[in-house]
Amino acid sequence: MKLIVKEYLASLKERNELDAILPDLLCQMGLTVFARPRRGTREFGVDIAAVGAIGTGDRSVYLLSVKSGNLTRSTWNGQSEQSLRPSLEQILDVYIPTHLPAEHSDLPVVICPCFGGDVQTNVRLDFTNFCKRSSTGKVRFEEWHGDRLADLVCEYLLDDSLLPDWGSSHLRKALALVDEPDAAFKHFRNLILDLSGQTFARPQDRLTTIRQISVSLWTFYVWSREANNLDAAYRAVELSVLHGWDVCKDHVGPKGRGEKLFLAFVQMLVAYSEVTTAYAVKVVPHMHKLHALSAEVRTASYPSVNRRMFDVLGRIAIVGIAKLQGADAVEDEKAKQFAQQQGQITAACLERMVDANPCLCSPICDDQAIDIFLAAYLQYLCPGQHAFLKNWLRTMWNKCRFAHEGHGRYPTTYRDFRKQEAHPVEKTDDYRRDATKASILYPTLAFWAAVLGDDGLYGAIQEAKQELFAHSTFQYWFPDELSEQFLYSNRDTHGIAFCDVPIHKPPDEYLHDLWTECDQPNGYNDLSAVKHNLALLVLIACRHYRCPVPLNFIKQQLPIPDTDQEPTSEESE
Amino acid sequence: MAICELIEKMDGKADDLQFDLSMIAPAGPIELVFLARKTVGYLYWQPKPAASLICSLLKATQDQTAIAHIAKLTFDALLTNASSEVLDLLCAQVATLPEAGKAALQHAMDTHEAYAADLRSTELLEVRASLAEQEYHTNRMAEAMGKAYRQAMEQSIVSVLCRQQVILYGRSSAQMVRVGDEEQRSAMTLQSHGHSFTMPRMPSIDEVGVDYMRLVFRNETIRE
Repeated sequence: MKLIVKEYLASLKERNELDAILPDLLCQMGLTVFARPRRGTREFGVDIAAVGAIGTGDRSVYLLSVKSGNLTRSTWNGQSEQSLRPSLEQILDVYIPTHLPAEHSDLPVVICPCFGGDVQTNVRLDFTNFCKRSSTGKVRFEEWHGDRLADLVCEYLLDDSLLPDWGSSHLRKALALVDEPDAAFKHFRNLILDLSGQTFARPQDRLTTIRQISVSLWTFYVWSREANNLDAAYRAVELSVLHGWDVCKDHVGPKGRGEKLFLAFVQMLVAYSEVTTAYAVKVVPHMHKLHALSAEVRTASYPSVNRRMFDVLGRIAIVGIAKLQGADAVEDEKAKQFAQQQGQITAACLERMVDANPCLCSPICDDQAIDIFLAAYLQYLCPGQHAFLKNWLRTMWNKCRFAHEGHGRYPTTYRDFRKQEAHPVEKTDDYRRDATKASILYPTLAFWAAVLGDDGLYGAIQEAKQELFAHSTFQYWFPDELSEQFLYSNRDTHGIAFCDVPIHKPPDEYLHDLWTECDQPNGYNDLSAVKHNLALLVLIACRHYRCPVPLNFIKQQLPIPDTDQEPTSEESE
Repeated sequence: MAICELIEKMDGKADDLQFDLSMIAPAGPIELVFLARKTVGYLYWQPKPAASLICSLLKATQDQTAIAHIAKLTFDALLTNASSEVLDLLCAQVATLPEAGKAALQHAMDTHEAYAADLRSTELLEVRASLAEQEYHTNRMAEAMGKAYRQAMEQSIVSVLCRQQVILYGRSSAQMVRVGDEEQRSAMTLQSHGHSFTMPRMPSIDEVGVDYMRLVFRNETIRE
């Protein structure tokens, strides 16, 4: 296991990765951290500062200067200000004489050059000599290289060992198969299910599990990044935050252990942002190229291409939504604007993706309504995108209807790839009725048509419900009292299907009935994620577990249509 | 439909087809665009005859709008679907076109080159189909091909005239053949026979869209 941890540490970047886990490590070692990494402010060579005693040693001040990877000639004393030697000189010349807190000024100082890898042979002598020469009675140096850090992580960060034996076995299998995302994710999923499914005898066990999930996730992500394939890492980070929340949701609080637990979970959200952004950064540059993403699926199977394109659509949509939701939470005006721009750019990229990959106008599976909803929600949040959204929904409806009437590749309730590949097995009405006996897709399209005021599209779906889909149960899904228990872990079914959605009514009444269902007690508003202002988790759960997105997200953005008002005299007549 | 079947039966000998525009009078810009769309609608799966017919339309007009529309069809209907086959034919034909047609067709071919470069430059493991899906699709296709092969063998005259032997090993076969009263050894080196075809790209990229486009092109009429 130590080898895996060492490999993992060596692959971490300095910013937000290696320097993010070190404060936790120091706390766990019993030290008190009094300076954490900050961006934009001058640190005089010190990234992290802590005070305390390690093991049986004397109480000392520990000053960490963090660099990523191996210590090479250029990272030791290169052109960059970020090289290690200038940082150590700044610590000696400026930080220790002027910035050391007064209450610690009498304590011995240990300067710890920290790097995830090893010291290369050609700088070993320079480095050792510098440390010897600069050591005094009060100041000494301790080299925290990859080996040492791996020892400390294994020894302190997670109590006795990084993972239980069964956990290590799952993680090793996941890492070994990282080139084959489905198989790797299967093993990673087993690890997360086993970790989060444990009985937590002591309160601190939950914190340990959150940290175990976190470290496993980072390790898996780093290996996936090395393998140049973030597909499984994206799914892994979704699963991790969902199970992480499931483990800690009832125990987080503003103080003490509850706060520690919440902070550990926040680190997981940082990982979520890192992984999903890295995924988007890889995919977005290809989104505008005609057919490029579709062709890159590299198969002659249309269902494979179609499934993958809708999958990517949903993933990128959530990244955009997260940016916009993040912007709402930020107080700094510049940061808010930047996050909003990022969200709007993502929405525009999705538009280009739809234009360049025309299969995104022809869903083949009813549950692709989830990805469509997410993409539509992102477009809806960006007013400049409404014209595109209307056009896309109309085109999609036309293609679906065309395929349905011509017994082509119309959307079905089949989720199994083999059934989708063989579809349509027969060009008969009986088969078609069986393949379309229920739908959330068409009610979703009707919903968006109603929200956007597209009466033409709404009317077309309304008419088709009577003519073509009379046999089909048009429905939508809402959370119920069991959703809080199972939404994040998906260990059992939950929620309520709102059947026979009232599409026969005019659009405003249709919306009114759906909004009413949104407000049922013990539903969406009672989900712990919503109460803690983490509604993004609900979207992640819906995408990951293929569950329709609660309409409350849109309801919050809209003035509720007032259908209870007195009808006008004209309407009465 | 009869034209499609006829061209299919000519098995590659109908690649150099031209419209006899004297049969269609008057063939103005609108009629030419209409003919080009009909060509794509009916001959989408026979891209070389379709491209050849469309080139003949480019020779018949100087109208810039019509030329641009027709040339555009060569890119986003024919070249995107069967690049290599169509490109060879267009390269051969472009020199025979009048200036306006030549420029438009060259533009379509340049657009295709940029398109192909974009496809080549996209390397994204994240979107690749899973191994399970690829294996399932390959097996399904192999089964379908095997079935078609067996059906073809049953209907083949060769299977009536000849006895079938299956060779498991080696690259030639030998056996004793009776000639008069004597048995002689007869050896025969095996020859390989093959047939290659280009898999159209668009059915895997936008199956419903292709069907939709073909239906529209086939059924549309010229508005008065």
